[in-house]
Amino acid sequence: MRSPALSIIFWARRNLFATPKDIALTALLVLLSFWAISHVIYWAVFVARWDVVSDSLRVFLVGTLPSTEFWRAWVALLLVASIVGSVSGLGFAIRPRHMVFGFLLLVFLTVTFVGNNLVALAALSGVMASFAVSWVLVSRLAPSTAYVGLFVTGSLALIVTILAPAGMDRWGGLLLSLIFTLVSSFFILVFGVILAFGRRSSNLALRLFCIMYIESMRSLPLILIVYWIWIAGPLFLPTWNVATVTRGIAGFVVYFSAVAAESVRGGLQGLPKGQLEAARSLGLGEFDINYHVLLPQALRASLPALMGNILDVFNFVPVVFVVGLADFLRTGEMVLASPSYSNRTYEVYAFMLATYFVIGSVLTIVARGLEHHLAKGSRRLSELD
Amino acid sequence: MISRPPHLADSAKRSWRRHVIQLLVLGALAAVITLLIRALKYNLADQGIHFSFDYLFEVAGIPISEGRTLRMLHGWPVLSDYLPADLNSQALLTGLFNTISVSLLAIIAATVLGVSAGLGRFSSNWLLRKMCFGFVEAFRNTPLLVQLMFWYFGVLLQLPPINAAAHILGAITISVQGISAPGLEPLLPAGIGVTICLVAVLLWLLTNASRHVTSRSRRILLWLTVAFVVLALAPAVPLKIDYPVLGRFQELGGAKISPEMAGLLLAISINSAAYIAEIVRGAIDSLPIGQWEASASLGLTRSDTLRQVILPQAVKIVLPSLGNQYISLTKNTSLGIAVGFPELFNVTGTIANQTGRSLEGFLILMVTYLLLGTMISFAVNSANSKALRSG
Repeated sequence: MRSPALSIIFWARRNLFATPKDIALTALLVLLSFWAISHVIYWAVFVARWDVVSDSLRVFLVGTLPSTEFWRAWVALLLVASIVGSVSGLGFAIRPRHMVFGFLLLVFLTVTFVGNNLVALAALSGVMASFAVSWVLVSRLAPSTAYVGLFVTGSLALIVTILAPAGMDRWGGLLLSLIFTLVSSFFILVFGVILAFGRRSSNLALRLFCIMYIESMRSLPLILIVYWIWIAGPLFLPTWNVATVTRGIAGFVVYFSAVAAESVRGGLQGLPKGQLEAARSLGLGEFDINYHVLLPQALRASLPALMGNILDVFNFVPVVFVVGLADFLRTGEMVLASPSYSNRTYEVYAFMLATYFVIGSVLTIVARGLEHHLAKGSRRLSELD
Repeated sequence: MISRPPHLADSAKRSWRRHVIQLLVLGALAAVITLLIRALKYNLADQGIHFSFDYLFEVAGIPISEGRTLRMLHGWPVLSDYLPADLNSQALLTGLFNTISVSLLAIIAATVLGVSAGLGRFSSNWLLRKMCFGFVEAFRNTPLLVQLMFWYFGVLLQLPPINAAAHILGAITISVQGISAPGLEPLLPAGIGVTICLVAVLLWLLTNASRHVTSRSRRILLWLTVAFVVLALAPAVPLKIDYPVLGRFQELGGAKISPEMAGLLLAISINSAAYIAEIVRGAIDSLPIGQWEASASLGLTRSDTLRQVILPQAVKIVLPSLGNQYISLTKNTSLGIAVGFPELFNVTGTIANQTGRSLEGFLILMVTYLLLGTMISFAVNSANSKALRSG
């Protein structure tokens, strides 16, 4: 039995100092990263003036929403938390370490951002509690996926109805980014599934249409589609006064449905052919085969890819600047445009990049976890037969 | 009379039903499309707009900060700087020129950086592995547009002004106005040569695509193309080196990269490199671990294994996804509008604002991006089939 200290030395020898070349490389990388990290830390602690973030936090989070309408934002956030929580509950059981992490996050957010604002603290705790409760409920009760889907649909509709009276084109900041992502992801999933099945349909006209749609959308830049739907919407439907947010979401749905369709198709193609044949031999109709046999399995298999698509949606929301919406990135630019903060470029971009990175990493980790989860399930299945 | 067996009757009925559904779907699609077109026509007429491409041959009158366009000189199409007095079509060509040049440069940079970072994930050095992982995660989990804004506003616009510029090797100048370096300026108009080169390369690509050409004649054609290119460049050969000269407010001459182009290049190359690194890693990971073990038992070193056993197999897996990545890179150059780089989408938008021709502009853009994507996938597919043949 080796002592821990000795095994660390062995590990270091194998992984860091195996050959003279490795030693030189390690030394170079250590020096380089030490230089970079020390500079960044020195800047963040001694040079940067972070008051711009705490002073403009409202703008960053909700844009130009007037303070009388803040309750709408909080209720919306509560619902967003319960949506995310219930969807997480479908895939993962809650563990004590998740609780500890959540509590630490609450403490961190309170200390850094909330301060002594009791209302905000209560609201924030409520948001996190709704996340935890919906996670626990879904993972314990294990309701059918259809019920969770219904709950998500209802919550999304509720979010939109609650926020709409505040003026749809006044939504802004991180709130807009989140709601934009959620609402478009919902429709993207629905249309993506329809397009993926249409692409495999035995109906030639439908199949050709779906292939043409998917391939032409995928070859166009998203920004072009968003901009053009914003411009051309009134040309097609002049009497409907559609809000810019809605047109932006429509642009995202038009483009990303084609992307998601390819993810779902990947899941469909991975299914063993026996599933289709077994369902046919049982005498199921085409709709039943697709809806009850193929779709659930295909969705399961394509879930990691679909999570990746949702991350792409979130990461491309800043593109809505082209139609004049004020998402998280745009509100950052608005803060920088005010004369008192014009020299805080690095602080503002550091804050935005960090926020985006945290949200993006969480989505990536969840997608990776799902992938492992699914891989485990399939292995068990193969052991059975 | 013999009645048909029940299952055949059933299938006949089914195919009959299928035809009816087919027709119904077709009819519904046609109806929706006709409705949309009629609504569009009606509303365009209502606003007094007529659908036409005539505006392409009117004077553009808009300034474009950089890029070249095609113009006729002594009956030859020649690449030269864009002027506001040029036509709208020439302005669009300038945008296309900028889009293509940024895409090409970014594809090269992203491939080099991305493949290195992807291979770095398999280094025997733990620190290098983790740093490559961190690089990939950092750039894949943040929005490309935020990265672009950061590079442009946070880095390139914070560079010193031209009179305090940094000089590297006495020739390359880096300042807030961009990066300038000595360029090669041919003594004769290069447009003619470039045109001949393009035609020769196009001819080579076309013949290469046909399956009836033998590998021998393929080789002959390649050498012919090379000869053509050399011949075409020959009159321009006494190249003179064009040093940038510090003018009153800016540097004149030489090869120059504007801060807008530099920002777009940096953002897109590094972002795509992160995705390419992940593609490379995935491809190498997907090879059975036995490949590594067998090579190790044969006494190959890790880097030899990578170079001679793993990479030749990984290339075939990587190429299709690499092609997709190149296409999305090319599409992402359209984000250049956020920093004011005059690429195709930006120029088309400006012209559409000037002329009110947004519908026509959209159609042109759609066809152009479709063509660009098709060209990239054609190039990658031919490389792929070559890789498959060789193995």
